[in-house]
Amino acid sequence: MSCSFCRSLKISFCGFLWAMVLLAPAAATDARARMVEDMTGRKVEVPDDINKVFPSSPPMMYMLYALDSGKVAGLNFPFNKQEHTYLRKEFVNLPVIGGWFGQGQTPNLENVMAVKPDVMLVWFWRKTALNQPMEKVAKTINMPLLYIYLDTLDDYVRAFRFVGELVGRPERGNKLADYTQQVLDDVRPALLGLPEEEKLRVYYAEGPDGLKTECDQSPHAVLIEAAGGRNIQHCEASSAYGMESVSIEEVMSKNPDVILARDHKFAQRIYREKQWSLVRAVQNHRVYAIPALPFNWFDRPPSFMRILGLQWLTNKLYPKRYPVDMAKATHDFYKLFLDVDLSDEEIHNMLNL
Amino acid sequence: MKKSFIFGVLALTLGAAILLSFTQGRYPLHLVDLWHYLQHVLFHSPMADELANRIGVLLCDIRLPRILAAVVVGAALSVSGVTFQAMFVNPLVSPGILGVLAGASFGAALGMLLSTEWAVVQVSAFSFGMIAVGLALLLSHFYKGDRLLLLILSGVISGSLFTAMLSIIKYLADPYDQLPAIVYWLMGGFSMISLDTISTLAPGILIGILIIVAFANNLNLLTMGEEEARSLGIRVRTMRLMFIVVATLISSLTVAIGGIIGWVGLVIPHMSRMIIGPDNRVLLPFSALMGALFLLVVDNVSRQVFTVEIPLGILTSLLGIPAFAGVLRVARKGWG
Amino acid sequence: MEKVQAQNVCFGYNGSRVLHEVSLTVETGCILSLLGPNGSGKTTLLKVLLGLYPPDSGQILLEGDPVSELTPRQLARKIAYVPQTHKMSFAYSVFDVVLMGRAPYTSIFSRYSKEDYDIAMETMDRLSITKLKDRIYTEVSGGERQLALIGRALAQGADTLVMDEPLTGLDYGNQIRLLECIKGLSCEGYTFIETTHFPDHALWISNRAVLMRQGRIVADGATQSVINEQAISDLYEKDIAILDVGNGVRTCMPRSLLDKQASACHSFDFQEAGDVSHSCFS
Repeated sequence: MSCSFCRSLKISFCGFLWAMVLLAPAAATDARARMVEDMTGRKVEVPDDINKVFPSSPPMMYMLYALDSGKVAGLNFPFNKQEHTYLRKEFVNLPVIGGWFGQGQTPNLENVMAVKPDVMLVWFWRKTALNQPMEKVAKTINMPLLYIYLDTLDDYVRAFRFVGELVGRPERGNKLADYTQQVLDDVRPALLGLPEEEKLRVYYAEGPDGLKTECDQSPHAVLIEAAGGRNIQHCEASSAYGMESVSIEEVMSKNPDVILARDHKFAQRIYREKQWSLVRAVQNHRVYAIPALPFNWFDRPPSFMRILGLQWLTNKLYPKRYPVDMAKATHDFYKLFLDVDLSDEEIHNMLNL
Repeated sequence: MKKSFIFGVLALTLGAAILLSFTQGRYPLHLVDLWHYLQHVLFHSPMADELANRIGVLLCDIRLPRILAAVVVGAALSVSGVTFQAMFVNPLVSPGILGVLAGASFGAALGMLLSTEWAVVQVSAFSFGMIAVGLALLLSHFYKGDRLLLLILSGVISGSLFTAMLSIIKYLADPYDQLPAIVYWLMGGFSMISLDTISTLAPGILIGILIIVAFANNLNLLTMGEEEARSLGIRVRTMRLMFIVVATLISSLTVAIGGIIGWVGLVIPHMSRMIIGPDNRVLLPFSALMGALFLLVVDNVSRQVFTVEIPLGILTSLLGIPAFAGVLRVARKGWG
Repeated sequence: MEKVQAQNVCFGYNGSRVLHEVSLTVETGCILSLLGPNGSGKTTLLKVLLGLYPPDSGQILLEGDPVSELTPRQLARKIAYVPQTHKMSFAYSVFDVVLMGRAPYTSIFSRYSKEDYDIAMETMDRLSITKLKDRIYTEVSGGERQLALIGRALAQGADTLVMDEPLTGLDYGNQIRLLECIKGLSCEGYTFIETTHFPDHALWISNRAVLMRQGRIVADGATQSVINEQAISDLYEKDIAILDVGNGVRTCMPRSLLDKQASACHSFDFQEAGDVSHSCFS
């Protein structure tokens, strides 16, 4: 008696659950769907109108921000105070739902569903162990997943056009892509014919001790080669994460012409420290602190700020070959990409002039 | 007689290793140049200013601080390991038993989160190392029962608490700069070392080591257990507190110098005890020398074998384990 | 002369009382055996007498001075603790262990003097364990370990030795050797307070016996009168016979084993014997 009641309850409960599962995606998926091919060539069905996009990692999120901040469904991690200054309020106040970028802030599925993203955009750097969980999540909540290439600056040109088109902002996408292409078209001829032996040898100093760096093969240091420099750390990255430790004697023996310092405190301190006093870059006062507002112009996170970073670095390395007015370039870049009108003083501070 | 011979050999080896370390590094420095430099310094023989300056910086500002740091930190960690092992009458105890390393890790991470000044990080690491042990001591007083067992349990509680808080800090840290800095610091290493740092912190460590060595016989008596030690005329609580405070102090200072360098404080005391026996009057100075030698050798490997430096904490384990396994084979019986 | 005195001592751990109003006076040269079932408070009484734990009420006097007013070092020079042979974690040599007895005489930085070394050597001579000098304490036999601990107590210069079940774990020969040693030292004027599980040992060497039960002293006096059939049977809740084996020498024997031949196991009445270990079957 009681048992059959129990069973019928179970069955009806199960049925209810199934109904929920079947109904939920039906509600989310727009009947009017279209097929698109993502940047890796996968064919994916996406809704006609894409209003909310869930970016899997910060580079993708920043790119979406530059395209149309209203399309971002949620943040990968909370922003700090510095970043707040330059970003739109309604954007920084979006719910934090996490992402897949190797730092543990893996999203909760329900949080992802709660912000109702129409598609998920993933930076396809290389096939990693992370791809599987991401694809699984996308499948579970029936959310189309598209891979985007963002490795090189040329990829950015293509990605701006592709994502602009995807989210219904083709003019904006083309505008940003055109700007990026223009920068590349300016920088490349300027460096054309630069003899190998005249290329400046660059050491990229990370960490508070300035003794963490990136291999020349690493995607974290692409700007050095792009700006015509030669990364003194010649190696294959030991992990995707990077940040190789080196000893001060190693740096001394390679004697770089230029040091790019990520840590601004370190950039100030280096001139006072005797250990560094024998390095050519220090003796010639060619230690440059990499601007980092609102996010780093160089790397960590890799973002479209690299487009400005490329101009800055090329200008720092070869001011004669690439005599750009950095103050103006910075102002224009912020206006175009971030919709921010920088004051002269802000630019001055940013560039450590 | 035999012991003093072993001692002499070890001291000489350490001395030789220190001298040899000055000639080791990634920057090519020829022995001939070094010889000329010595003559230049001692007898004012002529030498090009640029070269003299270069060798001077290399020896005094780059290699000397690291050598000193390795020697002092190695000695401090093993002395603190011996002390804790004797005090808890358990050869499996390491200096982190009362939470000092967990506390210091949290302190350093907190420092990195709140400030970009390295001195703040060091002070914070040191202070929280002491605070974590203080918390363990305080906790152990709330309970009744076997004091040593309660101390260990309280240490576990305090250590876990600070480890959990460290995780929170890691979670809050900005993933691009702060988090990697924290992670690298937790793996230990002397890349931040300068002559200033080492000359400020080393005296504290040396005094701490001297105090522990001076009271070594009390430590012997403590290994007999609380009741026997008391019946032999020791003020057990006072002595134990003294040893905990001093051993914690020196291990906190090592953390401020080189981050978390594991394994040394557990294994060097063991190896030393196998070689020279458990008498702390001999064991303490012996393991100090052993620890200094071990860390010096490991740091030499770390700073020159590979183009990229392997964090010291990883190397101490990688090199310590085979060394330990080797000594285990020839171990004096009944070392356990 | 009164060596150690307990006056109305009450003591407990964590609120549960272990000793109730215990009063005891031990004279110089006495070998006092404390007898009682497990958990009767024997060991606790020893530790309170040693001054390791202050009594909750009442006091302990050592040669007339309250123990609470003596420093640990002063105390250690007068009364020494010989614990049950324990497993030590660290491999000290036997000599190192004996030398530790000199700790109450060393300076603050506890360096042993030449004299301390000499005394430790003499003590080992006296106990005929000189040959064990460089042996590792953890590797010698239980009896030798116990002798080393007695050596440590003697090196302490204390003339009262408090021993906790000194015979536990020793083989028969070593038990006898140890008892001879205690007897001999007692003749030299040393006072012994020991706990034991064997009334026979008390009958063999001690001139004073104290029976304890549930934290109270139930009998105290000359061994020969305290250890009688009635008292021992009550103490251990077993029917014990005390046999006179001649020359006034007496020995204890459980009546359940006395009446039957050991070989007659098959006819053994478990009902009567009560909770005999079942190992009899295996």
